[in-house]
Amino acid sequence: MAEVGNPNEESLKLAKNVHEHIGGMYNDLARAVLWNSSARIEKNDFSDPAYTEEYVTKGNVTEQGLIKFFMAIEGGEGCLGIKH
Amino acid sequence: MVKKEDGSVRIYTKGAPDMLFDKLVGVQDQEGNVLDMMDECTVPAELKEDDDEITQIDLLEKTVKYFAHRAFRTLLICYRDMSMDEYESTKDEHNNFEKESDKDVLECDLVAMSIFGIQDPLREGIIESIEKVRLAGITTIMCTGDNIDTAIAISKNAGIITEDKVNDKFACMTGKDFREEVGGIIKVQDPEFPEDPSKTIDKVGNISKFRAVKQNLRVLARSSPEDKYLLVTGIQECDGVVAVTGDGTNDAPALTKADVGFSMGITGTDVAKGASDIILMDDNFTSIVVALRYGRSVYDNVRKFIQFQLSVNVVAMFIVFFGSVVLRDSPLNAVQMLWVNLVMDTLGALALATEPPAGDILDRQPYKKNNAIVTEVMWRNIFGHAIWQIIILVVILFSGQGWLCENYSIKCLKFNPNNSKECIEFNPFYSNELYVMNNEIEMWNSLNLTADKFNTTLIDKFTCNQYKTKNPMYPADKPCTKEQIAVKYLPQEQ
Repeated sequence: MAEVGNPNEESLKLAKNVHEHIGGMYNDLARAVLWNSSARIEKNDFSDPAYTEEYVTKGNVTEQGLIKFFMAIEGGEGCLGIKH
Repeated sequence: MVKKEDGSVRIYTKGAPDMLFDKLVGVQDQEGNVLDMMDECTVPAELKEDDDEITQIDLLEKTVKYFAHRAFRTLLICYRDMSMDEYESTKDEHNNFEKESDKDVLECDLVAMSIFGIQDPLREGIIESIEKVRLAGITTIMCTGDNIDTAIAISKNAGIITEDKVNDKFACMTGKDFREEVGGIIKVQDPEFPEDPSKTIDKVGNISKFRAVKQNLRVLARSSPEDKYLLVTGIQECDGVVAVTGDGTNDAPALTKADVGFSMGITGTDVAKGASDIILMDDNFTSIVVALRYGRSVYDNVRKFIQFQLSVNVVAMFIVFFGSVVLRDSPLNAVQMLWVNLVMDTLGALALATEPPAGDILDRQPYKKNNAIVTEVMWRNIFGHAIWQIIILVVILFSGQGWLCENYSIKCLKFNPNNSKECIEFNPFYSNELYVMNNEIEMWNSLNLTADKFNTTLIDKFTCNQYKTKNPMYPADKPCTKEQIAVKYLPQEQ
């Protein structure tokens, strides 16, 4: 139950740490979130210079937070793969 | 919903833990075993208080509190397994799950999988902005959908509420408690249309209670857009001025109702943007402070201009009337009066209208909704300035030629030999107006008629010097002060 100070690096570390520990539950959790969110993953059109990643999240801000957790592990394409 | 290999289905749910706790029947552990809610478990070190062993449901509640007190928003992820037949029959009984609300029936007998703690860190500058707004006499109330512990933690971090005020009555409430306390929204007959029963207006059910709540309210947790609307309606009913921020479609009524509606440019829906007065392009609270500074500045500048114009006109009226009665001739001729009007109404107005916000503009209390645009202090300043100028002008009018520079008088007489009084009065009048305009900067409550400083920026604007390099229409060799001299020496038609 680690706290996230600065997003990005720390949340990536946390996400990987959680991934290692929860084992078989991970796939269930990923589906529960990615199939069950109104927020979505989109290919970045680079219209906003603040976002440089290939995939960005849009929609409900809280759900974006959840999706970003899985994107930190799977990457954008991986998450889209699980979703579809 | 997921079809499993064994033919059963798994339904996933996520939502606010406090809404789902009552619907839980078990907790899944790391190995995938489902434990009963009343099973005992070991308390992790982070959550340890007194007991070493607590039940699973207690552990979940402690976990949520642990996150909430650290300003984390929490989400509980659960699932429910059903046989395909059970699922199909439930579906048939509930309108084939056509609407979202039809699926609510599935949210029971849930097994908890995980609690996510999500933190949206405070943006840079937010604490300073909240403090600036507080010093400006504005109360910030946070309306959020988060649970009350998270909302309190965030508001404490942001400086909306201090530790010692958290336990004050009505300081932190949930939307439900707030609605019940103030009696919600009621429809009453619009007093402007007493004959037409279809014309109604919204009012707060219990306005006296609302006044008591409003006094202390800082955090409204688990609130809905309707609560926001209720809050705006109540504040306006108490003669308050209210600004609201919002991003969702449901926020539109509150944004429209508020005196100033701020919508979010990035995350806001088109409906919210359409309903608002100002769109924050960066979704940043700090921008509200900028809007506040410029809003106050525009209002101040309008007041400064009114005060300046009234001072000028009172003096001009008096001098012309007095001269005509006592000397049987106006000390200022028609061209001079027109010139003064031209300069004062255009460049003077521009100079005052483009004044930047004063440094201390957010240090004072806001104006009340029903304050007159010309205040008592402004009337005092107008007549103070007018009397000051009239004394100088009358003294110069009657004795100026005796003690003013000889050349000045000779030049005037040379170009306008039949009416020296016009020249002798014209420049002091003009200079006085410049001085009065400078004083508008310090006009509010200062009794010092000479002002603390001479505002060179303002005088630069007024004399067009500011435009020297920027505007080809105002070449450097033609500032208004030089034109003023030209008008002075221009032969006058009698």
